[in-house]
Amino acid sequence: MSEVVELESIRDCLQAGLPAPLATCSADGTPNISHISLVQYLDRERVATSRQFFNKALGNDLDASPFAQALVVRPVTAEQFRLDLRYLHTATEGEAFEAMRANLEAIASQTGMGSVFRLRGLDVHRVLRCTRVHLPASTSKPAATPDALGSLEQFVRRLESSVTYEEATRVALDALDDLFGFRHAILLAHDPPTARLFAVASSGYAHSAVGAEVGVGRGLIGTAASRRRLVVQANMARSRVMAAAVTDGAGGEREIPLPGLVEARSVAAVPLIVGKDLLGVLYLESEAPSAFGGATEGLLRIIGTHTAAALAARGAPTAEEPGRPTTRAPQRSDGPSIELVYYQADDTVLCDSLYVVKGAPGRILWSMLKAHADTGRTEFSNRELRLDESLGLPAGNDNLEARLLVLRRRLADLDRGIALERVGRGRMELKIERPARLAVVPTSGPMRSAHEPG
Amino acid sequence: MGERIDIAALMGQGVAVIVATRDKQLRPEIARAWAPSLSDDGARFSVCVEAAPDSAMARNLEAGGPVAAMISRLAEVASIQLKGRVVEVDAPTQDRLDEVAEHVDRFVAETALVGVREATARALVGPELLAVTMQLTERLDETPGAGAGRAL
Repeated sequence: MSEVVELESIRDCLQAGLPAPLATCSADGTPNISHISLVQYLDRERVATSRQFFNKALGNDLDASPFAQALVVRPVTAEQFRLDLRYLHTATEGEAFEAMRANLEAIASQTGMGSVFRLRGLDVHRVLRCTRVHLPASTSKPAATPDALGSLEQFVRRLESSVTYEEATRVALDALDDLFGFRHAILLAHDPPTARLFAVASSGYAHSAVGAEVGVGRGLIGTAASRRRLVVQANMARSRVMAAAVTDGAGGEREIPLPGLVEARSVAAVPLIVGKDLLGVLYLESEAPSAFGGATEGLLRIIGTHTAAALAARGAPTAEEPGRPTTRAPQRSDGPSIELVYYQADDTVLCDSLYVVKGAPGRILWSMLKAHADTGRTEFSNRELRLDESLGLPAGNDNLEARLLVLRRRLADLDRGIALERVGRGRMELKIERPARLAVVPTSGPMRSAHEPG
Repeated sequence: MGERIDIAALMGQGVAVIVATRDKQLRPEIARAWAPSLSDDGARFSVCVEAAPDSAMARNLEAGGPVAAMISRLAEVASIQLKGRVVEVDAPTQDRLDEVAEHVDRFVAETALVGVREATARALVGPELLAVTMQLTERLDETPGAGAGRAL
């Protein structure tokens, strides 16, 4: 006799990355099987299945006979459950439709199978009965559910205690590991003018992700950003494929690769949104299958909301502490010089032939290096950077704190004798240990006018 | 002819097999199945279907109704669907059970390619099986894409 279970108890089986067979009947009574990319939990009585471009017969069947049955699997234990369904209607818009579309677009972007995964509609079904198929002999009891609310409260408290943008990124990633066991995480900031996301902090990887970039709309991370929705993949067989898919083009030595777990089984991309503004994306990976599905999705949304609010509050322009008198640093003449090259084409800065940054952080770094070379200045303020029109920072949401954080961490990672250190609120000091030689590679391309004297 | 050989070749892989039947009210019933094989003339398909005694699946099969079987390679995203009517239902012989064990081994190897651990893959196999033969009326290519549903 099959054991009847509550739909609520198998929410972890109903998520992205776990395709399920769905049986329906045609008008003449012939059974038909479709592979459904997503079976999505809607509420205690309803689920939705994806109707995609390729499963045309499915729609005909559901119109002819409303009964269907799906077979879903619990990823860790391999327990299987049959869902007896009665088709209600097909939705082509709304919250659930958009959530499913974001997940399918992420799959499509990873696999390059956009037409296959295009969502035509969301078939909504009432769950008539949910039964366990059979209990595998080796099934282990699921681990006790930790106190999510208590952990969430601690997470928020720790975020609130951080003072700067940089500290908030570190605290957020540390707390995700300590409190929720999310060991592998990358925090990316959104750069609206370039429609890209750049990594400002990472944890749990062999090398830092800071400075790595992802185009909005590309891959799982980019889809979470473009759709502004949580994207979860419960069963990633090859995370390196994903990592390759989300880094744009072959930039060679002038790109920072996005790290990824070779053995990642599940991933999540959480959009960080405040009001109407997309601030970035929190990307999580786990070696465990189904680590971010079910009720965890709600937790991730809350974590995203608080993280976004904390970063927004600490990334906004703040009053500066009084600056110390501008110092003229003594030029060190001993030791080999540091070779710094600036490429006007994309604002890339190389240090001793190693890639440092590009884009806005590259312009900022070069501006400071030039000022240092010309006048010996070492101290700079956020305010002057914001007022420097040659840097091309957008008014309003200029992401300056995020850009400076990338710059600081990239210079620290490279350890070539150049550092950018905070010396007070809104102020920083450029430290150069050896003589620096600066060279510019001009461009004749579309960026030429940006570098011509006004 | 070539298409039939392709189907037979597919069955020799570590494929996932899903079988669907229905009752008189057109309520579908779905189950996993193992050890798929095609008759030499390609007209009949045999498989061991997970079905507990007196279960809805067992009743539907024993009623000799219409049946569908989806056969999929997970590592290559290739699927076919066979449709027809049940013509034989019996307890599986020892030979068939040996074939089930061999198929499960191939299934474990195939699913490992997409990141499924062996213990997880083996846990999907149910303990109660019925040996079923169906007379085929339709063979469909169900590989996801524009050609899905094309008759083979």
